[in-house]
Amino acid sequence: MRKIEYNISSGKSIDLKHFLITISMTSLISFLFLYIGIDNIIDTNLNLEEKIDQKKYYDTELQKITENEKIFEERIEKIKIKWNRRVVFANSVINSKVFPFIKLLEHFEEILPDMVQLNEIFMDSSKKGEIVISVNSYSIEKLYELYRKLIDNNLVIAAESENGGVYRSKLRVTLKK
Amino acid sequence: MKKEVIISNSILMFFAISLVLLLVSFVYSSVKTTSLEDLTEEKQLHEISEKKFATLKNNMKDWDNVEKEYLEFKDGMVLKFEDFSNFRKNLELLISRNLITKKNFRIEYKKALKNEYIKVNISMKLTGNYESFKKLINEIGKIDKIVYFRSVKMTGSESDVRGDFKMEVYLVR
Repeated sequence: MRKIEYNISSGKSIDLKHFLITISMTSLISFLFLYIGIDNIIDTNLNLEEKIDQKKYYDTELQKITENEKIFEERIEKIKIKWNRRVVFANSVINSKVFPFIKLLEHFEEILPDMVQLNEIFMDSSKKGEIVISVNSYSIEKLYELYRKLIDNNLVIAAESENGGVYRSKLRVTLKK
Repeated sequence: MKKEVIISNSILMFFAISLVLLLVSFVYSSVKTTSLEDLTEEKQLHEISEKKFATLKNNMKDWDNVEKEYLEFKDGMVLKFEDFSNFRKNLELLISRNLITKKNFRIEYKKALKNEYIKVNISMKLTGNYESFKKLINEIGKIDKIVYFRSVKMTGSESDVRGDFKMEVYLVR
């Protein structure tokens, strides 16, 4: 029996028009990819160069700042060695000078409820607003009203007593100046 | 037919190369952009350093002026030793003018700031009324020299107050 031989490509021919369109489209897309790719790389490199220049600028500036900082700090340190003790002294006496005794007294006058009498007040400018007061109250409610008003000032009730309807209380508070 | 195969293979090869290049460019770009973000951090660091430096510069200006300011303080705000007797007279006048009775008056001199100043501690036990004590405190506060109350203790009723006052005065020779 004779073997059948059949070549499928024989007699076939390429559709030239279709082939050319496919080739052109593929080429066009390839060129577009090539263009975008190269442009992307160039663009990135340009940005990178610009940033590298900026980085150099920042590095130089930072170095200058660090050097100047060192010079300034040394200078301040020298001045401080000579003057700091005096500056601390001057600031401390000025702070004592401006301690607001009157303002604190007026504050107590304002918040003291009726039927509560201020018996003693002690203010010390070195104790940062800590004040000791002793009061006499003819009503327990009024005494508690005073406590309520002082509660935000680190109120400490140091002593409390009652004698013949008179309530005595010794308080310590820290008022903001 | 062979010619067409060669052309189509070449075009496919070109397409593949372009595609690879495009992908590589995106990867390259994203890698480099990440490294650029680090630069933003450097920019912020630079701005922070500049601010810190500006503060230091101002601080240095202040310290450069410290000698002048301190001498102004010493000359202007501290009482001269020779003026202290006059100050005492005025203080006693101020006390009596406010109808306050002096019970006890104690003065103590001490060296201060390695002998640069003389610190005078004045303790006073006084009696008077509450309003006159307030006036006295107010008037002492108005004196433009380093003269101030260290502590104030008032005991008694409004019309009869016993005051225990501690004052500090700094003097310069």
